Amino acid sequence: MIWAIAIRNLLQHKTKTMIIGFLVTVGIMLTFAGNVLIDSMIRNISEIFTEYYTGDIIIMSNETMGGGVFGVQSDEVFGPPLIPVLKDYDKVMEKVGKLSGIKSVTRQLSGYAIYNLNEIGMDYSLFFGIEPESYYTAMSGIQLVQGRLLKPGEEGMILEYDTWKMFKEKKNLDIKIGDSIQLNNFGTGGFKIRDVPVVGIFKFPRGNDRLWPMSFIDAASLRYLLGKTGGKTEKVIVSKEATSLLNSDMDSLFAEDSTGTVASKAGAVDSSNVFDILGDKKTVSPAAPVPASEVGWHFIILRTEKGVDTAPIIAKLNKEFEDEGLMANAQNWWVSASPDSMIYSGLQILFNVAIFILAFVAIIIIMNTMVVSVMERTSEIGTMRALGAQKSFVTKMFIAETGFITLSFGALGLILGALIIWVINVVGINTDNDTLRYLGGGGIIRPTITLRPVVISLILMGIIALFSWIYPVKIALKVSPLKAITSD
Amino acid sequence: MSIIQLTQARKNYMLGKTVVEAVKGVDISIEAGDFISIAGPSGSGKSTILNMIGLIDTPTEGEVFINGNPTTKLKDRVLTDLRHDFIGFIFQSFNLIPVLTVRENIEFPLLLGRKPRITKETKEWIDYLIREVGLADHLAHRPNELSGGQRQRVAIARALVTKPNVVLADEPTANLDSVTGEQILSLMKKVNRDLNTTFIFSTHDEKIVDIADHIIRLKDGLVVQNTRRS
Repeated sequence: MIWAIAIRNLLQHKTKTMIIGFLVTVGIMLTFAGNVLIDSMIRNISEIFTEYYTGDIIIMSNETMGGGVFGVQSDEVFGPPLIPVLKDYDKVMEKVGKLSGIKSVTRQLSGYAIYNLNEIGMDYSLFFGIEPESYYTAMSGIQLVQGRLLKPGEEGMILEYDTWKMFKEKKNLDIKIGDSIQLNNFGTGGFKIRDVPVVGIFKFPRGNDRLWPMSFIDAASLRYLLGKTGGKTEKVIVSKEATSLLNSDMDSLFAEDSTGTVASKAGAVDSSNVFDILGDKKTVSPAAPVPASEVGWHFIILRTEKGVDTAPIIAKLNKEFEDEGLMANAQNWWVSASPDSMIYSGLQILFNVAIFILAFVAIIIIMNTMVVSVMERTSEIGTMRALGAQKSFVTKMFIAETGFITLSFGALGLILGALIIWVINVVGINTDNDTLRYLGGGGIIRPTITLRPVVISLILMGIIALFSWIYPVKIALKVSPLKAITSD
Repeated sequence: MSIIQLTQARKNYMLGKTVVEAVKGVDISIEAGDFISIAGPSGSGKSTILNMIGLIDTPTEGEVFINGNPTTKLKDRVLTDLRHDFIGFIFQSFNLIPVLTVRENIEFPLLLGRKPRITKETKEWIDYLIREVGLADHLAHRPNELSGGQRQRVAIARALVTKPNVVLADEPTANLDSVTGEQILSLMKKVNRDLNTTFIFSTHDEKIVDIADHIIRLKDGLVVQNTRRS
């Protein structure tokens, strides 16, 4: 009977019901659709990071927290971001070997080097130094545009497509498969030069300009460029031309006049030929093979079996690292992608705060509308009380009204939200706007419904239903049975 | 023992800053099966007395006894249960619940008590009441689809559905035409005779006073006549 009274009262007061219903429907629809969209963006960016950059779990040195495969910009040193070597590599690998639910493991170096394009100029770029045999098994996200992948033990690079395109279009440099590019580095290991052949050109199918452009290089070459040789002396054969520099007029290199004018002197060394002489690939042998445990890696990247929850694995690893004093830290993509991932957290929080403010306003409006309804029904409430209705009956009656209106219109909001998501999923959000592409995780956004937005929407409906009846009921309970007689 | 007794009952109201003495100390005893008319001009205090008897208002001073038990100190929950179990109400403006049908309005009090349920026995009782008030053809109607007389019949059936000891009727014929009013009075008199239900009316209507077997006349908040017909 309570439900019958509640529903019929709502139907009898159609205008009020529609006002409240509209608010609830729109609120729930926005909450649901918005959260599905944000979740889909996060899922997109999560897939991109895990497939292209971080794997499901990435283990790195705990000397610099965050930054992941891109490193962290030092506050003190102007230069490329710092990426500390993973110390205790062997012990960490021992722990990794004992884990269950791991599908594949690879290890990686990350570092910054300069493309020395001679008279065309220089370009600073990020490189992933990989071990091809394990990397392509673990990280299958790249798409070859030209050439091929690196072979095990091969020296070479797979150039990133946008970089290749930029060289071609802006610098008029058409790099072909088999061409070599000179890479330089002024890192902590000193001044390094290396000519590296291009074996392939790749792109990430879902990448975008905001994400880091990086090329793949064999780990040995990058290790050489970064000067990370595990403390062992690298075998380097220096050409006669290079040693002849010792006999040249070194003052010419540091002369006050421009290097261009000094370079004309025979046998002089200057900025235009110093790289040619020192950087002659033929004169510098590849880095001597050094055991991985000795030369160090920046990252160990793990891919888990499908459906495996990474959180307990990460927690277990970090506890073991801490217990044994290992200088390592395991993270998921979210932490490694920081601060980028924080944008999504911020977006999610901002959106839901806005929604909860909307819910608060909705509650106030529903309360006021229900209070008006109570005032119009004092005679009816008074009659019920006179006939023997306890206060609890009146309370239940109003809870039933607010509950019914919230749940039915909330369900309508959910259905409409799902409909919007379905339409977006079919059509897809595709934009040239780089910020939107970045927020969407690259590529076309096709949102799919997951449990979390449904739960958030249900919680919101619950909050509205739970709080909107309180004040009207408080007013209704003040209605005396006498009102049955004194009101019409 | 009286079924209801008022002893030195007084009721004061505040009208702005002025105290209005609606009832100035009355003693009334009502026996089971009485058909009582509380008559008097407007402002004489008859509605106030009816409200105190109906436990929807409490005296400022004095006491209201139900079956010999004082009620003024009782909590709202107990008073509500007492109203439900002991008293039936018929209001001047009918006070039916607008969103319920005739049958639902009649059933309504049965859903309010400590054991709210409709049994086979109560269904038969409802059917009997519906037949008695002549509304068998209007069960699915809402109050706004009924005439004034029909609404009051629904109110009478509703007042009787819990088989109360006492039915309070506040000017039950005031909003009815004379023919309908007489029919309603006859119906209540029949119920009074058949079920020995006590009926207490507040009224201006001399026709009600004429058929009452216990007449209480009020003037300015005081009882000026309290007579029983044999």
